[in-house]
Amino acid sequence: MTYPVLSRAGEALTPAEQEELLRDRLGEGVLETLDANGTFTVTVAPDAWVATTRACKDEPLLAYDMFDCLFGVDRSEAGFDIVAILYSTSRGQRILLRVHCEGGRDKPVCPSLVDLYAGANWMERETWDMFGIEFEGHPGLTPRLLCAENFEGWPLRKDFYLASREAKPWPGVKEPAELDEQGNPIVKIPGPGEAVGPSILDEVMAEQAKIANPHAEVSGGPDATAPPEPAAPEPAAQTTPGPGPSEAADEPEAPDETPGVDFVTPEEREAKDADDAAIASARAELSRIQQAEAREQKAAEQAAAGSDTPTAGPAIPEGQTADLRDEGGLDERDGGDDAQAEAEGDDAGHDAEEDR
Amino acid sequence: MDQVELPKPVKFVFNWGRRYSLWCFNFGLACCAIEFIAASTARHDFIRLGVIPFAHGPRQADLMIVSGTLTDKMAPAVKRLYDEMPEPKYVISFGSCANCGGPYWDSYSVTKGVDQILPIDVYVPGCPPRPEALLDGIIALQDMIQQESLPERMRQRRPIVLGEDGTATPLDELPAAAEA
Amino acid sequence: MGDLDTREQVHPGTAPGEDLVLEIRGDGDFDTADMTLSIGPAHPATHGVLRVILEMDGEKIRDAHPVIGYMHRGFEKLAEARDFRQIMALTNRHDWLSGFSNELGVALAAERLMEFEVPDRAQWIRMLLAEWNRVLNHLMFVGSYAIELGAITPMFYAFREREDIQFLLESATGGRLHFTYNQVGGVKIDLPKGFMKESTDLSAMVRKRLQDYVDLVLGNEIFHARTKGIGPLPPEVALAYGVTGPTLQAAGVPEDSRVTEPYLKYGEIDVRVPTGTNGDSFDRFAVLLGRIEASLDLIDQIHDHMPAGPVNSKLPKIVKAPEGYTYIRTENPLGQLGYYLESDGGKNPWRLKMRTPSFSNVQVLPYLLRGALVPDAVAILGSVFFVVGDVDR
Repeated sequence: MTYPVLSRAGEALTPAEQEELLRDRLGEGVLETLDANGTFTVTVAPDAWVATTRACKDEPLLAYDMFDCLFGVDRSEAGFDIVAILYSTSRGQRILLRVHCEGGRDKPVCPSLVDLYAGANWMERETWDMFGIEFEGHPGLTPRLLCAENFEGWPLRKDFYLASREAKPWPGVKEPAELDEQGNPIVKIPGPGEAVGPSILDEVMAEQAKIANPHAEVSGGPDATAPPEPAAPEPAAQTTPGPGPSEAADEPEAPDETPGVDFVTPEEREAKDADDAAIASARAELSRIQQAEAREQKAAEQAAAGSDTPTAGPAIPEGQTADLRDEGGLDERDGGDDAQAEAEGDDAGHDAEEDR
Repeated sequence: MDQVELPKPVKFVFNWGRRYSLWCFNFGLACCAIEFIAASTARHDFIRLGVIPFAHGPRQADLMIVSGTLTDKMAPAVKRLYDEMPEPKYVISFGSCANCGGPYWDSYSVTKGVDQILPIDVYVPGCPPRPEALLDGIIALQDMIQQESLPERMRQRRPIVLGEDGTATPLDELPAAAEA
Repeated sequence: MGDLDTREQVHPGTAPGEDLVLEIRGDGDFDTADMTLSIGPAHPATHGVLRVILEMDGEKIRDAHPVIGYMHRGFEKLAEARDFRQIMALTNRHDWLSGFSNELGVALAAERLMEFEVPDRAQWIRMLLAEWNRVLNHLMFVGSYAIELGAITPMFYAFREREDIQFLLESATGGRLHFTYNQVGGVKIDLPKGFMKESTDLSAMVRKRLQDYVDLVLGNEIFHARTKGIGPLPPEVALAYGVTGPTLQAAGVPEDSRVTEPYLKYGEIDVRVPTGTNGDSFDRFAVLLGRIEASLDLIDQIHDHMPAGPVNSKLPKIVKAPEGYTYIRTENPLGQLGYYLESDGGKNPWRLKMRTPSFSNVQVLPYLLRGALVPDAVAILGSVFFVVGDVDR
């Protein structure tokens, strides 16, 4: 048994024809229609809501047999709209029915579609849960479908504010692409007591540590007042913050002051790492050169000796390590040369550290 | 055993037995539950660490892995299930929704972190954390169990009575405080 | 018990922890009581935190009330506070087994409002990953349905395939479960080198291993006994409730968005839609396996069609959707996922409604459970495919 899906796709009415048909059946009930963005919407008057839906379902030329969904839209001062979406499997088209609820924002009401489509039951319960719109004729809107039973308020209304966002606005840097009048990117400087954005966290922590612990013993490393270098490549939109973070000293990071524990501020650690990396990469380069020379020497000796044994492995060209990345494994992407060089630099740094 | 500090060799063996035989209550709430299940199947397999996910209910479990978002509607059920577990019980908070609310930090119906209602032993961050992260968290928990002393743990978890003047007295010290 | 002769209505919203309420029926000298059993919200047989309150006459279910909302995270409200990039990271956490398809819907809706042209290669990549996501999702349900009926082994087989597919998708997107790979205008980054070959090999391997499920589960006589004739769903009822996806196709309605309203480039390839006959649990499971194979066929076709070119268009600095609204429906693995996106011209949507397939699938549960026995309730619950995050958003 196959259900006739798309069996009448050829006879599907155009939006204009559908509008004509609906106006013919309902007269003044149909307020306006809109065919835009791939959707055909019919806005009806509240007292024609059920009749329109029944016409859409029962009219043989329309045959909207599938109930897609029903939900509310907040229209600010104007009140609320209800949108119902129906779909016709035999014709492969969809219609959006829209109605403006009576009762404004205080007591919005709308007739229920439960008798026509069984699927409207939970949809209307959810709309009531989210907006507070009463559906006349619904068997039971309570208890709340989605929110907790003792929840107060209608969450999707525009005057229901998200408490967490009110208490603490998103502390990250604003849109990196947002530019002010001069074309400078807008960076949100955190005020006292606010969390800092991720990009300047290291500097702020260093500042706070210095304030908390001005006489800390620092082991090794360069001068403690060296300016912090950004370790990871920052997006171009970040500008260094002003004197803002130094004011955020309410809760300084109290470092461990027990004797014997080295306290290295993050900036020093970064500087040390940069130095170490430079030294390590130089060392690695030197060892590579030495190894290449040794190999050449060995090859020369073997060639001189006239033996047929092959040299130990293929000669690795300078400046490259033989690893999977070169084989074109899954990690390679387009234009990955810079990434590769960077990765090798990191690798060299890590290897040198482990040797130490 | 929860009142007497055991001698070290016995405690070692005892804790060793406890840490490698954790029966886990399969409490998956959301997406992290899928990674939890992935961690229990053949490739990652936390059963080889001794954590067995087939506890029949909270009453036969000693580890609860809360994976996924905790909503306000679900919170009483989670608390009740936690209360049904017998001591000593451990909780791993798996995923950033369980740790702190995660991507739903500003939602009106999400409890920002399971630690608002339960005491957590191990937090595993991630969204969702890889199964290897769960293995790491379980190993961290096992190390913690090895080091811990049961009387100390019980003492930390005893009920605390809030007095009318705002003081908080542990239940077992109540008569002594009343006399004082 | 004989003292109570007033009927007490069970309140479907009984909070966990409240007492059970007995409904007494007096039948002459023989007083029976119907029992109310609350399955869930934490229950191994429900897919996550779904609570079903059953009113039972012995073992026979007289009525069922699903209680949802235990995973309601307020997605629609959060979407109004986020811009189009941040919404992507949130949408894939609703139907958490088909994260890619969720993002795809939002991207398509936003692109339609903005009248964005998406490059061809991006569309084909989206289709490829969407089909792999479909295979991932269906494999999970194959495994979990079997484990609910008591067969534990297929779960491990399913996860064997899932791990390989997740590794493949991770190589392209960076995520195993939540991909965040779609963006308005295309996909974030091109596929890695070697992806197409891996994908081809993997689809051949999954197709070969699909036979394991047919042998282990579909041909198993215990499985037949437990699922044939259980929970039949007639097509008219399914359409009235808005049921879509494998549940609807098993009822005999080959309604599939990829065929009836082709999006992306589905109109250029052959999409096969397996349908069932009876609409019972066995048909739903068989359709699931059929859809896996159909998706593998699609993946092979997409391999042949994949063009070269850019994968995303240059976005304006601030992505704003013009005023207006649109509704777009895609074929998610679990059913048809619709996004109603209304914009007031800003960078946050004014209203983003997510019409999820699982919401309608769960709404039809009382119809299916009435008259069934309690052991069949588990078989029905597992066969009506839903993910609780999708139900509650």
